[in-house]
Amino acid sequence: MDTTKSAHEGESKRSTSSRREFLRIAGTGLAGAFAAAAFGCVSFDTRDGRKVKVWATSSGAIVHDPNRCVACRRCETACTVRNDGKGSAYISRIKVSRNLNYGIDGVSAAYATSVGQMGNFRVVGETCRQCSHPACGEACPAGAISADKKTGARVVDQRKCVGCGACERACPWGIATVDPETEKSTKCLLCGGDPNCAKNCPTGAVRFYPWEEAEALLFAPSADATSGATA
Amino acid sequence: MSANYGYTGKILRVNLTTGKTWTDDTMKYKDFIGGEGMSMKIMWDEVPAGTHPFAPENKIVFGAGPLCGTGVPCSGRTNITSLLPSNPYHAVSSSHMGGYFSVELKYAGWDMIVVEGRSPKPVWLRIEDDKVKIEDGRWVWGKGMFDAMAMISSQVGKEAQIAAIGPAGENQLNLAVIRTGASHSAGGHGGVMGSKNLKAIAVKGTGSVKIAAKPEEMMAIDKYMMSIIGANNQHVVPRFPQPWAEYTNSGSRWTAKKGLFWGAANPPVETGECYPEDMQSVGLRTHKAFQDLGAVAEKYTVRMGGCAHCPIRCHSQVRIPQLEEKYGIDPNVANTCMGYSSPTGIMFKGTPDLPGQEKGEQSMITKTLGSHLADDYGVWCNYGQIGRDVAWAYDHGVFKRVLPAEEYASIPWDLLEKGDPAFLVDFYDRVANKRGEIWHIADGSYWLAKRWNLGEEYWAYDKNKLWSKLGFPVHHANESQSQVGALISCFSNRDAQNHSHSNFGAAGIPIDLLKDIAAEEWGSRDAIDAPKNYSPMNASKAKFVKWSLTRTLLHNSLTLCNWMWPMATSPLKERKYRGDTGLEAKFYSLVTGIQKSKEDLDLDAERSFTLFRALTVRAMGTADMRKDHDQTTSWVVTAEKGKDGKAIPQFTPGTDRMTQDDMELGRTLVYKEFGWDEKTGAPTRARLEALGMADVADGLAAKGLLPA
Amino acid sequence: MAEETGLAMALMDKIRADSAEIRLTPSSELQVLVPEGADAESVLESGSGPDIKTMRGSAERYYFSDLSMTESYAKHLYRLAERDPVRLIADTTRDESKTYPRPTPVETFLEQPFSMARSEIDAAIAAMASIPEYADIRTTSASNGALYLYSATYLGDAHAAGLAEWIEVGQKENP
Repeated sequence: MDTTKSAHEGESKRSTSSRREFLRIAGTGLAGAFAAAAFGCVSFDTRDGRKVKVWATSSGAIVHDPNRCVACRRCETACTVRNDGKGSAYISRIKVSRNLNYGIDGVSAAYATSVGQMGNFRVVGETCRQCSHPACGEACPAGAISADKKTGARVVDQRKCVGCGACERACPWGIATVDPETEKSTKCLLCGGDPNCAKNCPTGAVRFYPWEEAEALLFAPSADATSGATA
Repeated sequence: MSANYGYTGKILRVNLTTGKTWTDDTMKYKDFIGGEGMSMKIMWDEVPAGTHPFAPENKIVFGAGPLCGTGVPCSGRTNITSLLPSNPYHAVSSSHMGGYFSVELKYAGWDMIVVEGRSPKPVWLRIEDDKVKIEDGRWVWGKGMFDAMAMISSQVGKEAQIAAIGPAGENQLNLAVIRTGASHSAGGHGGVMGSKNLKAIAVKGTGSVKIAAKPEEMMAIDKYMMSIIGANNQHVVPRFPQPWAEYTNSGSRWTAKKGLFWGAANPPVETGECYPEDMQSVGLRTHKAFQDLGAVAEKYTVRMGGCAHCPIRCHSQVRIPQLEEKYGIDPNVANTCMGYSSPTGIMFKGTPDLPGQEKGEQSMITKTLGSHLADDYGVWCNYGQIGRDVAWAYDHGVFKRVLPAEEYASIPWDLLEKGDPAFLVDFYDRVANKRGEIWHIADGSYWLAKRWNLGEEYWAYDKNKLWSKLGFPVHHANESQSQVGALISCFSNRDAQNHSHSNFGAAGIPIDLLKDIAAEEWGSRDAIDAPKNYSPMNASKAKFVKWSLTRTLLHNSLTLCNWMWPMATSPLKERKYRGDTGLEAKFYSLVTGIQKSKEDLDLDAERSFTLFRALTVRAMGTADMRKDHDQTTSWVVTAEKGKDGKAIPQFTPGTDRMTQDDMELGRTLVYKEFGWDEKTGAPTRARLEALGMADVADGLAAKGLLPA
Repeated sequence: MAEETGLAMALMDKIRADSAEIRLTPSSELQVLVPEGADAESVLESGSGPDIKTMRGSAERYYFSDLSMTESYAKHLYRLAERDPVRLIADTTRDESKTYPRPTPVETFLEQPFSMARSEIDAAIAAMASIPEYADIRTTSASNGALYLYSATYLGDAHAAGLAEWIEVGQKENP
């Protein structure tokens, strides 16, 4: 099974993931709605008559630095031990393993000089961007994904989740993952504001940033090298 | 099949002769913990003495333990157990590799893989969760390891972790490795895979390893463990003076300091001071390129690497454009320790810097070029012995004597003489591809000495560092904790690979503090000696020997890294530099839900070690281990000469040599600690039965191998 | 009394601030902080926090707070402040020969916090030979040529030579 969303598939969806982009599309008049949506999310009509959900902004997001990362994957087990009571790479909400050897793009004839431990050693981790307009939450047919009241993280309500995988298919970054053992979606919940992956990174490569900084790091056109999004 | 915590509960069985794969129950071996212990039991039960390592009847076991995959610090290693080709009796032995392979194996739902038989044509094994398939391997056979891994990855997917052999393994060299990832090699069993026509095993897993304890409990003990951990080899003081440090040690692998960088990172990453309480710099403490390749390597350093779930990064990953410019190989090289240093052993005439090179540059190029070649061909160095064997054969005219004249003339000895690392390009090709006669250098020392008739002086020469006529060298022996290291090496079938004692002695704190800790662990301050200031053998040293042997087997069973564990010391002054030797048991109990004390686990490891001993007795066909197995070469028990040319008597300051009488006493005391026959050093029926291994006693008795 | 306490507090604040920046506080720098007629050393002697430590130099005292640096590190800084490279090398060598025990590679003094020039180190070692007070300091070379220092008070010649060879050559051959 290919666990990674292909870049091409993700491209079009990615353009609506940042708050700035969303505002451009939905119209700036909606800004007030963000204040209204202090908790969770509310539905709203756009000026061209579409019905959209407005989400409370996340308090921040986790960003991975491919320059400092040493590929120990302690972030992944820190995530799953805390949140799932088991060690796993596949359902970790921070994704390092899948890009470890050959990068996001996978193995190529030029592997020896391409991204990855089998190439130029660069380790590209991917994290949940806590998108302003999260494709996972938009896609969930069960209404199981909402903004956490405390952290603003887009979290999965395990009682509502039906394990259909709509979020997994919708996420442009390949983060939301249905746990094959529980048939429930896993996605980054920011560990109540104190992300365990960041705490357990032994080189400071995984950090939690307040929203403004995180958004700049993750969504700015020049940010990909840092976020690892397309590195 | 029972649902389990820690264990997946399943062993994958593969018969390459029949092409059949099936599932076995892990828990029927639970008394042997996992990894190496369980593998010993499988080898005892299923592979009869007298089997050749390269025969289809031999089995090779890839083993992970219950802690592997849970995120316990330093739990990413893979244990490999099989008959060892380089050993004169083909006795069972283990090799180990780091990386990510065993973790992926666990996530795919398997604790171990047992491979037997021989495929009629080259194959590789595909494991994707519970789907297992033997794939045609003809298209990757003959390929170097790096290309083979990439080719297989292109089929299985980029997430796959792969264990493979290179041409050296395919050609069934005794000294061949199994490798995984960028730089993780297990030396000794590559030829066994080759003999089975098995090029590689690729694993991909979407599952998990379940933990019995509550997440908070697991997170709390992990945090505690992270406060106790030091740098690579559990060195707990920094190399350079730091404001926070009370002690320093010039040999410490805690090499971080202000102004030291991963210079080829973009932007460069500074290691900084790395004070002990800072959990976010644990992975920066050890700058391994600086340690292994010298100060010149700083600016070529991209990052540190290592194994899954280990915060200590003991592999360095460097980019050296000279490799591409001069030798046409990839500039990106990763390795560690002996992987880097063994090529300089082959270049034994030295590798002086050329005009225009920086200090140490040619040595760095030699190390990285050689390690990359050895890794691609999959040649094992027998813990550096291959270089000393080259040196001996060259300096004593052996090559001239045994190589056909035409072959001798074709070897570019001039490159060796002037220290040009290009010699290695030629050397590894000849060896891995079995060209001419010279490749027999990779038979291993025992077989080599026989074939090339190297004579008694080869074994007796101290600088050859041969520990035993079984053909293996010093690996933390007499120079490391006096009789403790010396005796540990005597119980091995290959280089001892034991760090339980050597890490303790090299922790970096003053001897008085170490002695205090030794008294707590082994009953007396006399359990350890200061380096090169030894006292005669005593009972507490024998306790330390037993502890080291069993703990190392325990680690290879759990699987934890014995290059870091046990945690006998810590960097914390407030703990008086004490570590916690009960941590393995705490983690085991929390992960598996099976409550075991440290004494319980030590006893389990003793069971496995005694079984290992029984396997050696059975392989050698004699119970007289003292005489036939546990002896050293003669230099070990001969006084060395000081700088003034006079002999330095044993047990006076300045020497680490042993005496025969004292070593015999040491053997007796260690046999006693294990409850074995004190005369022969073989396990007794009483002890085997007490450890729950009456079947092993019966097996030995049937062959007349129980001591009288 | 309250005034004195306030004065001691101010001095301790200065010492702690210096220590946080990894430097010692010489008494001359404290003296300028006390009123005329008062003596900074006496103020601290009559009452200072348990973290405040002092070392007597040839001309003045040095203070540090062990909250920010260990005594062993402060000793290095103290020996540097005294500006006597011969004594610095000899005393550091003696400490290591006694404590661990082990000989000291001369490379030690190239590193921080010593940061001495090779020529300065060589000159100091040469000077030692003719000063009776340093008669216990001896040198030994490993087989790769690296020079080690040791104090014969704590380490015998053969022991020091054996250890130097192990640290410099043996250890690297047995990684």
